[in-house]
Amino acid sequence: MKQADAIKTYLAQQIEEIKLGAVTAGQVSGDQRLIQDLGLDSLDYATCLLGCEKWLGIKVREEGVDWSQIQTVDQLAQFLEAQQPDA
Amino acid sequence: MSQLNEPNCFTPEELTRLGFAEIGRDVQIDRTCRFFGNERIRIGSNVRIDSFCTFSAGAGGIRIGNHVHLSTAVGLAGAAEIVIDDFCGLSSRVAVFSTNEDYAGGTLTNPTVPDTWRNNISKPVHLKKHVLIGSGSVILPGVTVGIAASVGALSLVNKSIPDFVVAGGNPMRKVGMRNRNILQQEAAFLARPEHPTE
Repeated sequence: MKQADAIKTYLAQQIEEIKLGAVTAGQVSGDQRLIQDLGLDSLDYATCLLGCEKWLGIKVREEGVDWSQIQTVDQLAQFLEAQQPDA
Repeated sequence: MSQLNEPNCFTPEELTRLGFAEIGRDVQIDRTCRFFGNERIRIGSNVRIDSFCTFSAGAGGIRIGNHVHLSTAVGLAGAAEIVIDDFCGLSSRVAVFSTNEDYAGGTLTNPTVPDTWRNNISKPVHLKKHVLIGSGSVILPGVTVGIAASVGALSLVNKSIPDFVVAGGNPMRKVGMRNRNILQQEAAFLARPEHPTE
């Protein structure tokens, strides 16, 4: 199982790739909002999530998820940490 | 510049008669290429345009720099300006659009109806110097591809790419960085005494 910090590091790398280097991994901090602050659009967000699913070897269970509460990098990392089967 | 088969290319006189806004020296264009809005098309020197390329220049025009190569069946089209700077290379079947239909809208589409019935979105496209675009990629309106950025084959370029970034795929992602030595190579190349565009 991967911890939220490791997931956050991976997310930062994903964001750098998706933003084509306009945002570097080192510029990503946990309190930044993925859409408003980092400039991800809905497709970018989905791409990021799919990348994390593959890396973690999980399929996100979407039932009952309030996505409006998952806005920042930290929030997404914590959400993904909790999605792992042995969490 | 490696030469196209000469009988298949427009002669300099024929290129003049095509009525481009500007045409440089040592331009090789295969006769199968088609041009629309020629008075809005500017082409630099040492340019090679291979067979079956199509230019459709709208009000914004199309501007091609020096030492540019467009491979087979490249298409450039749209109402807004399309600029391809020096030393760019577009591989086969690359499509560059500066106008797009409104794919989600309730208006009519396609050029068989007047523009007032459509909701086209037109934004300029700029490929900066040393850009390399892989085969089959599609570049959408509003995109700027930065200096020496490159794009892998079959990519959908729907957002701008910073200088020197290597990107690819659909959705597009950064896959690496290009060697900045290319700018020194350019300087050395242009400094040659025999450089033909000087």
